[in-house]
Amino acid sequence: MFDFVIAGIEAPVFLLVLTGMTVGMVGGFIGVGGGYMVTPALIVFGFPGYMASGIDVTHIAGKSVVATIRHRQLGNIDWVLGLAMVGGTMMGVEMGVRLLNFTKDLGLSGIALLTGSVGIMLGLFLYTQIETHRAHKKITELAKEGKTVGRELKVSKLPLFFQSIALRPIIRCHVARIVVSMWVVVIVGICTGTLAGFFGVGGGFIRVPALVYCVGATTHIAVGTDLLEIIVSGGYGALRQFMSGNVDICAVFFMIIGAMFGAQFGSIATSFVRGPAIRFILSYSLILATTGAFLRLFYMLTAQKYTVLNLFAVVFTLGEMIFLCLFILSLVFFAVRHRHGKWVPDWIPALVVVKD
Amino acid sequence: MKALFNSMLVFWIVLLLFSLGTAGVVYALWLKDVII
Repeated sequence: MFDFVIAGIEAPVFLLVLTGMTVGMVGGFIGVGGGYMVTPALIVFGFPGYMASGIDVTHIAGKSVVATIRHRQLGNIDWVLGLAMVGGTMMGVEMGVRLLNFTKDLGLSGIALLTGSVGIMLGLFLYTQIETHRAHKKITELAKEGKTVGRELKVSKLPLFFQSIALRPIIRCHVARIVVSMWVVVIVGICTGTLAGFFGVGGGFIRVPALVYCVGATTHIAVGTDLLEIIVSGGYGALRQFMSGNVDICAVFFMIIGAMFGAQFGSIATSFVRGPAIRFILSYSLILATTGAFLRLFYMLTAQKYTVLNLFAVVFTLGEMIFLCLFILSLVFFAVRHRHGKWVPDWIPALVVVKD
Repeated sequence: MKALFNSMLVFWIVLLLFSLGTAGVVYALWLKDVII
């Protein structure tokens, strides 16, 4: 146990480093901050709620820098797209926070917020899951026909619709290889930022599907570009939390030690897989986060009577982090085996890249 | 075993159960002050 003087508690350092590492790996792979996993975990470790949010956002900002540097080296960042979006995102976050205060004034409870977040995440999960399954099936069929399949394949028609909107100014994103109206990018930034500010999360798990399905970026580019956005939004959040005295810098330090290694591994792991594999992990993380939130919602709805529900929620949050890490590790393991011509499950070849 | 893992859903469920079990054990050990 380590005595965290600022937070005024004693917490296990080993579990903090491990949490940082696992969330770093998942974040580097699917391009999210991981606040929906870290904040509940820190509360379980004994940190007060406000301190958990502060530590979470500060460690996310630091981790995103490491992951972004690595994704830049892998060529997964479109600076034009990222910078065009960042203004909309910041505006959206501010609008979301104001909307939250407005709903609080109206007397809407935390239960309403949690229900909204469960609904949105469930909807995103279903769309991502159905689209990715179709893409997975199509890659398998193309491979059987002997055709070469690239690193990305999407079956969604949504990007074509959004790219056909010819409102000037039009931006050309050379890395992402898309030509799209600036308004689409800014409005996507505002919408995802508003949701992020309203629900009090970083918004990566909303922004990555939005970049893929609305703007039309490939999943790899969406992940790298989203991490760039998180540096800005997370950095701003960290500064605000630090000024409010909600950050225990020692806890952040221990979490970043783990996150540095995790984020590096997660980012490098993206080069072993195709786009649908990242979208699969993203959709799994969405459904697991939804289930965890649903358990907490049910616990609140039952007037915190059944403590077993809270216990399930805790185990689920910790289990979710372990599961996502193991899935990423399995994909990399099978990708390496596939490259060496060894046996892999039937569903793996369509998800992994054979050569760099 | 190989044929079983040819289904993505089976692989998903086995991995999830293993992860939840591991999380449960880690949490129980922490509650018992074994992990400090």
